[in-house]
Amino acid sequence: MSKDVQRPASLPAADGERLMRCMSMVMHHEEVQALVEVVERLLIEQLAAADQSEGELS
Amino acid sequence: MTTWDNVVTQQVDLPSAPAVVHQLTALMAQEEVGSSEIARIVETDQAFTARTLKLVNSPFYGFTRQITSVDEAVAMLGTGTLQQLLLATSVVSSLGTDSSALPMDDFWMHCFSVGVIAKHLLENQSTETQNEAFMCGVLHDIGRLLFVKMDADRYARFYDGGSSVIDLAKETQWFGANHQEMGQVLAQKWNFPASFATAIAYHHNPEDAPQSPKLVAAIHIADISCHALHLGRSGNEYVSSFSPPAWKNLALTSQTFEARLRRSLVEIGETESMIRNIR
Repeated sequence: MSKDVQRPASLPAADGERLMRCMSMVMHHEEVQALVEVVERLLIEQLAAADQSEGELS
Repeated sequence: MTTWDNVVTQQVDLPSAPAVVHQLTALMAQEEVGSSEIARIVETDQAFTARTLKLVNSPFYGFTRQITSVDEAVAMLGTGTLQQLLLATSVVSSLGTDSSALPMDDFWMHCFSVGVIAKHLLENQSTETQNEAFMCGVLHDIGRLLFVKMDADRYARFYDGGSSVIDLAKETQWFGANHQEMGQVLAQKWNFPASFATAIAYHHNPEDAPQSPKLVAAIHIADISCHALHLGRSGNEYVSSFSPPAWKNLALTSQTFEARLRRSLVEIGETESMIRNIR
């Protein structure tokens, strides 16, 4: 029934925390596992892209 | 009259729909709508005409030349799209608040993003259905605006008090009705199509919707995706669960869902400019 969200090693801690805050509060049913994984993947990509553009600016 | 109808009518001075909304919703009920009829309605209101042209000329549509008349706008966008956008524009301008309890830019960003994703989730359906999905996405949280109009301080305290996950029962405890019920009453008062009222009333529990199951499912999945992806903000900090029946109802593979979500994100990037222009 539930899914533990793991912080990907490639993400900085603050982003990882944001990801987990987003995705781990609720129980995920097996039936929507694929859906959750897609949203998680896109969120990770967005966070990484934001970090990269911040890094380029600084 | 239902309990929440009473609550809403006793506690909130429900705004009346602008005349232009009445006329547009009446037109939407007709099968064939002529571009001149829409243009005539828009042109009766000078401020509305100005807003429409500003919107059509925003970078969201990317027209290379300036659109200078409503007739031209109708010709470029098509009657269906323009009709829906005009309705969205009038709702945004009528219901917006200046309260810090619900920052409007973030709020409309969330609502428009839900509209864009919902439209893409149904992109294998008719254009009419996709337009409907976009509009229902834009309107799905209008009940929250009524909470703010009712008592902005109370609304702020409700979300400061740790109500970070959607809790309809707690909303009812605090406000006498939840934001779905509030929105439904307004949608009915403003004579929106029945499918709009249903999507507003069931977007957190799509499996209970008495009609338009695919449309409600699309709004539900789009809403949660927006919360997860931090596309705007409507109040809740944490992400709710996806409804398995709603996901099943859309009958999408995860690959199709991902492709549609990616297309939506590109469009949402462009939507920001439209939201700045619509207010």
